[in-house]
Amino acid sequence: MIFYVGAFILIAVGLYAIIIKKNLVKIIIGLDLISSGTNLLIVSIGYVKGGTAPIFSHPGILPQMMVDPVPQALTLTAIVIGASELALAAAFVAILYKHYGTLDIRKVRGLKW
Amino acid sequence: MVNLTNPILLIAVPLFFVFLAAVIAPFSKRATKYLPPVAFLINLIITLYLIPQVAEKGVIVATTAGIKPPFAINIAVDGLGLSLAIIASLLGLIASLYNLKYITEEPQDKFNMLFLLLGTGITWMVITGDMFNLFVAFEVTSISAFGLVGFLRDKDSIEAGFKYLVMGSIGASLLLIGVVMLYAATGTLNMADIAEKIARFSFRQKLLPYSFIFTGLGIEGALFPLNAWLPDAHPAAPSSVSSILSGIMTTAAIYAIIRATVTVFNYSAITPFILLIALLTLVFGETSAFFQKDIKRMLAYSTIGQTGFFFFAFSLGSVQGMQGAFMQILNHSLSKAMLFLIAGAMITQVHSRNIDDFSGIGKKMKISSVFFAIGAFSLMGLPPFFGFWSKLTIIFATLAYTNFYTITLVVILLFMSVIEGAYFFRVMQSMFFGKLKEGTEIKEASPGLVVPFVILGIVILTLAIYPTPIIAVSKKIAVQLIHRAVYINAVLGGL
Repeated sequence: MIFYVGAFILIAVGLYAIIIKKNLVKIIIGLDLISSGTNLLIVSIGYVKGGTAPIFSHPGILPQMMVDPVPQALTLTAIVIGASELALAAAFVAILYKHYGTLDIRKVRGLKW
Repeated sequence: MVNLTNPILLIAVPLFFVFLAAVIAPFSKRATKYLPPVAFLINLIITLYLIPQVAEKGVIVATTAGIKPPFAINIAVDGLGLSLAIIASLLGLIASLYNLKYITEEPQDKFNMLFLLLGTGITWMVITGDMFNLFVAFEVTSISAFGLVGFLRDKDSIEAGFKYLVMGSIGASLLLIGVVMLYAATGTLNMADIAEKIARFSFRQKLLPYSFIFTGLGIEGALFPLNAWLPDAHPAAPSSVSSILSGIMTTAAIYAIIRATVTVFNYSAITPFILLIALLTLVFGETSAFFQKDIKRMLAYSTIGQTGFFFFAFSLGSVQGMQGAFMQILNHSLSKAMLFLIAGAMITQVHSRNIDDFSGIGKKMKISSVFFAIGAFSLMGLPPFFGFWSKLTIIFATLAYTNFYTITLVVILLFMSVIEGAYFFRVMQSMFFGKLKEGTEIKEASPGLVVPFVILGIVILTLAIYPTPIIAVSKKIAVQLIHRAVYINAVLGGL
């Protein structure tokens, strides 16, 4: 349960950072928090307290003591995707800084936001 | 003999060409631009090969790793998915031919790789049979789209790209949360398997995962409150990219919503809500388009309006409504892609995106202007063109929708069509009858830009002359879509 609460707090903090903060880097950090929260949520769905890897390595392991491996695979994929997204975002911010000489989003207003 | 009819090839071939481009790039950056046309041509041929099979069997299923669904990732191509894959390959082919001449900015190798990835992602999205794969395809599509929107690296495109990236990533996270909730509830990621198990959940239990998935996909599909990125992102991209983004990418996201609503969730109870969203999208898009001065921005807002139009038709929930939605998708994709390509060709001559600067160019750029008129007529639904039949079907479907507000809905639809006609006629009036500005050197764009959109124009004209077979096919597709048991049995019943 604590994991679910933690995950949703992370997502909420991330959304807060994106909506309220005026610094582009902080917005990126917000994006990262959202994807971390999502990843935590996915892993905690398959989590079993005191569980073990889903491999029949010795006879004493019962199936209900095994951690669901699918969410972990999903998380790995999601982490990779999130990392590439953040890298792209950082590149965008670097070019924006070159154009405007500032990271303040209130000054970056070529288009209607 | 390679089995040409495996739908996995639709993903594998363009993906192979992406890596091939990365291998070729160190030797010759110019050579990479010939890869996308080849890849999309192969894809188009494969999709055309698949038509008889889909017509015969209904749904064709391909599995990976030799394990049968629901345990392995599978690909399920039905009528709607295949038609969208055909449109995606066709538009990809046309736009990449256009790119040969159009894209002169460096780095070209990176552009071509991203362009191929965009095509891969869209095709992947419309043929996948697995919820998590849908998320991955969605991310492949959107990350390459972020890169392409910011490709020119000037102030506008970087800002639009960043805005799009922030909204798109939030959308992707929401989609992922929704998919994971479904997994937690049903213990499977396979669409058909979820569809079978979802029957034991009530309306309220389905609401939370559905709203996450709907919101996540709705950001990409430009539904009303979530589409602030689109009017910036679509114009900021190079015109060939805008044609793909507007023509098929938002449509692919809408396809995913349709697939989730009808097949996976079987959620007809939510219809009034999405009807309202679609209507708001329609009204917002068309009225905003009316006030635009920038031609690409106008076309982008018109995309929002069209999205609302076919999403509205879909959410009527009847066979006729879905038929109309499919016809409108077909019409919108072809016409809007062509309009963006033509707008790009005109901008290379006029060096401005302001509609006022386009006055009088109809006398100089004859071919472009005439095909612009064809695309616009088809989009707004003037009688000989296919858009007329699709709008007519949608109006009939709305009249058949038994509700107190039916007449109001029809009036809104017709009024929005009039507004759409008004802003396109305004552009065309200034194009054909306006005065050419003094001292401007305008001539027809180079053949490398003209030939691709003329091909697309010929397709549109063919549809205008022979609409009957397509109307019959779209009816079949709609019937197939609404009978979700066929899809479920085809996937779960083995090969």
